[in-house]
Amino acid sequence: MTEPGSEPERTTGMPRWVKVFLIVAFLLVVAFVVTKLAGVEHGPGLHGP
Amino acid sequence: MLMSPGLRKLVFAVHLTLSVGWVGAVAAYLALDITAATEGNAQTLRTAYLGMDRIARYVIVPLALASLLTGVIVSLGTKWGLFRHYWVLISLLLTTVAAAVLLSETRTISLYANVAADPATSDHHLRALGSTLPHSIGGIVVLVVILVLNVYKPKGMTRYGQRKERERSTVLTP
Repeated sequence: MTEPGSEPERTTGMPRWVKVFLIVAFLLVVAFVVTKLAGVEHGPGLHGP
Repeated sequence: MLMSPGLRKLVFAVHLTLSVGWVGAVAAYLALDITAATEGNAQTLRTAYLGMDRIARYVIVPLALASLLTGVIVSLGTKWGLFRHYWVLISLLLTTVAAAVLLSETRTISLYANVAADPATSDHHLRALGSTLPHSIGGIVVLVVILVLNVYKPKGMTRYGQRKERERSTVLTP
């Protein structure tokens, strides 16, 4: 939802909010991988008869 | 290539409609998903699974793909660009991941709907199907994050954006 009328602002370096976002994303990916390695079922097989 | 102000507003209006529609459609889907997760009545479960399938295939998937496409067009047609600002880049990344997970999840939803539509499926089997609740809750959280990013537009330029800005400044100030 990029607003066409607004002017982009200049900043330097990676902002803190991006670092926080990357850490949270990394932790979520690690959690996902750990659950997969732990053998937790995912998808339709989880509820099959 | 930047779009004219009139065209920008038109494309932005279309993009906004599709994006907000996507969130709304996922909310409607979530209501049926919660029903599938909590309801014990077999007839209600059948109806919920069939509804989830229709909403996902004919509303959510088209809205998601169209929103992704128009988002890219709006970004490329304005000064924001696609890779210049972190909030645009992260929005693109999250939207792409959300659309990919959605497309993958659609197969599961169709499977549930086919089982639910089969008159031979027992009530016990139907209740054992479960729901797609983790995905639908995760999906709506991601969409809200994207929406917040797009409304607040937090500051921060990528290296590519900074380089482009320097090049533009050099051209403008001889």
